[in-house]
Amino acid sequence: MPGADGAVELRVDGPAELGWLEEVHDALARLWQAAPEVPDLDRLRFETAVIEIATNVVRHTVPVGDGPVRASVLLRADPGRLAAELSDDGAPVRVDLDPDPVDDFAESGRGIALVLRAVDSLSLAREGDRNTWRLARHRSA
Amino acid sequence: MELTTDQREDAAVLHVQGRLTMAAAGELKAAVDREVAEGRTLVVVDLAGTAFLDSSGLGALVGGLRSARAAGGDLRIAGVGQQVRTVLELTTMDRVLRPYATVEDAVGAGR
Repeated sequence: MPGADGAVELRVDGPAELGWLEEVHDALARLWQAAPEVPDLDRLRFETAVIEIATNVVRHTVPVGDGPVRASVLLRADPGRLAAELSDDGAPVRVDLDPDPVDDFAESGRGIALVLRAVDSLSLAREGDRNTWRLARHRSA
Repeated sequence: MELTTDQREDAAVLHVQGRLTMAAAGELKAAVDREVAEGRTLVVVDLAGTAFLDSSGLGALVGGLRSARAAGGDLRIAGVGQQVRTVLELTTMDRVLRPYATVEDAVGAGR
């Protein structure tokens, strides 16, 4: 909860399944309760982006050995910035972070583009034996 | 997500309560396809109770739009809240799925 520097931090660990996604939704709700000063514009965009990436982890990550993949999300609201780190112990994933636009009538392929428009930075790296996503949005004045 | 359906003569109104995300996308697409197959080719998806939309849920709406148009009808969305509007705007899909203020506006907007 709020620290001396005005930051609020929450972590949710679990198997990368639908139940974990529910917990990420709940954690975001708790984050906004603890940081009620975050403007709607920032809250909605950050939340949309975090859920897209968490969904990507659940849908596309496969276990290295016996499953399930274990995933973790760390959410942080600083006075100037919203940030999330999502990591998992699954096999290395490769995701195109500069996707081509899809047709208006395509039923998939919009997730990463949506995230890129919703936040200021997005990265994916293999750190040790974990896929690690980081995203951040500077708060509107 | 909780899905309830009002069937009218040649239109169906699907009310989506809760989150329209990966876990619910298949159910919504199947429901739209069912209505279209039964001849209710004007499908209005009421999103007034939809707290959250992700790209999978958006994909289901686009899939439903394709089904309805292929049958000579249309899929329209109504009552969108702030988060749904954010997703539509950031993906520029509000050009394709133009939000109507209310279900009645969407039903009454002509074919």
